[in-house]
Amino acid sequence: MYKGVVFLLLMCVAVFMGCVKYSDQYDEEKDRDVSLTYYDNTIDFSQYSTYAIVEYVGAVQADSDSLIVTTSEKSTLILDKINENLTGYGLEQVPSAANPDLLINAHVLNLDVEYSSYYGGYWDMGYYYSYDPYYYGSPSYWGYGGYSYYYPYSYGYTYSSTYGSVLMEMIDSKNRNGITSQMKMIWTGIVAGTVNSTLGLDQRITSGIDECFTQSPYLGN
Amino acid sequence: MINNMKKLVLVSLSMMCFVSFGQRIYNFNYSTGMPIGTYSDYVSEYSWQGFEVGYQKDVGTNLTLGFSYRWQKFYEKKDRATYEFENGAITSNLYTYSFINNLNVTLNYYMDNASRITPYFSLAAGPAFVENRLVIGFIDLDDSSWKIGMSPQVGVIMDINDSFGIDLKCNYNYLPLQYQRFSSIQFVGASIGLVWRDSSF
Repeated sequence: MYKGVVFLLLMCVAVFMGCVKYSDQYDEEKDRDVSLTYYDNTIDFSQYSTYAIVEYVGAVQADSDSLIVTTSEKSTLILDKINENLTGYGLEQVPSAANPDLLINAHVLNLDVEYSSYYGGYWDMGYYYSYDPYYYGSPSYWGYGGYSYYYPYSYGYTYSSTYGSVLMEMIDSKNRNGITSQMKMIWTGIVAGTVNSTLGLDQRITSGIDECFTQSPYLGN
Repeated sequence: MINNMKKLVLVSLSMMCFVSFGQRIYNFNYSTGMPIGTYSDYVSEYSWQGFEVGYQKDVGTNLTLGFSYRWQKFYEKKDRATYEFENGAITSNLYTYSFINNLNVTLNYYMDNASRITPYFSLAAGPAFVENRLVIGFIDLDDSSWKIGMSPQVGVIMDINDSFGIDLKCNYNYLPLQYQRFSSIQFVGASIGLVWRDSSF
């Protein structure tokens, strides 16, 4: 009986040890960073040669039931890196009034954002921009067009983020709808990670943006 | 996870309640494992984290019947890389985990041997609770399920004295579980441990 109890205790210890599972998998906070892109694979990206980009990067924060957009302190850093990558792919930056082929938008998010899975290869996200050069007080900032941010993105999976994200959007201005003037979003780049520390944050942001464009060789002319 | 552990403990307790006569053998082993087959596409690192506890009783000449519980953890960190999918790509570090909790019925045959080294063959089969976790940056994808697995084994017991011995064995393990990039869990294992023979009742 005594020996049976000892064996039973051994079993319990063994079962308890089985409950110790996860080692600390992250060496540094940047180990959690993710760079993600999604694009319309029916588009021939070689047709585009010029782009215009927003003057400021909007920082989006939630306030009760509304979204507040201010100018991100990383605005210059992000825009410079995007410009570097786009010109590296042979695209020419032009003023927004010069009828560019592409419009480039960028935001910094500190929200819970859910991206919904949408299998079947159908790209149309139901999320169109109306070109309003006076939105957000900037002649080149065309913001959201008033749509809810939680809805429209379509990817092959679902994930939620409670961390900081840089969201880049590429909008087809060249082939806008002739009747409604609506423009389609054809490429999205997301850099996401935790923001518990600002140490090395600039490097993490620029590296992530580089990774998004490295993932997208089809953007090159 | 806790509920499944409780199930395994309760089943183990009930299995211990059957009346046993003759010699009883207890073992406690440190176990390791190497993924093979398509399972190595999911996790390729050698597992150094595992253990097994077991109980056997005589049921015939050189033959014992018993049960064992085995826990094995497989883990791999894949360096930052880009993974493409339809209409996009993702760049991140990738972490893959497998936790295997296996409760087996064992049938063991010990060869006659006049020396203090006794070879044996064993066949183990039983239910396993498997948890797989795929971590892409900060995105966790979890999956868990119950499967019936099997494991043929060969080993030797080196006697220290009449009651205790050192147990060395190798085994092949198979679980018909499909997840991510693998169609079944297969790994070969090696373990070392202590054996205690109890002839009293």
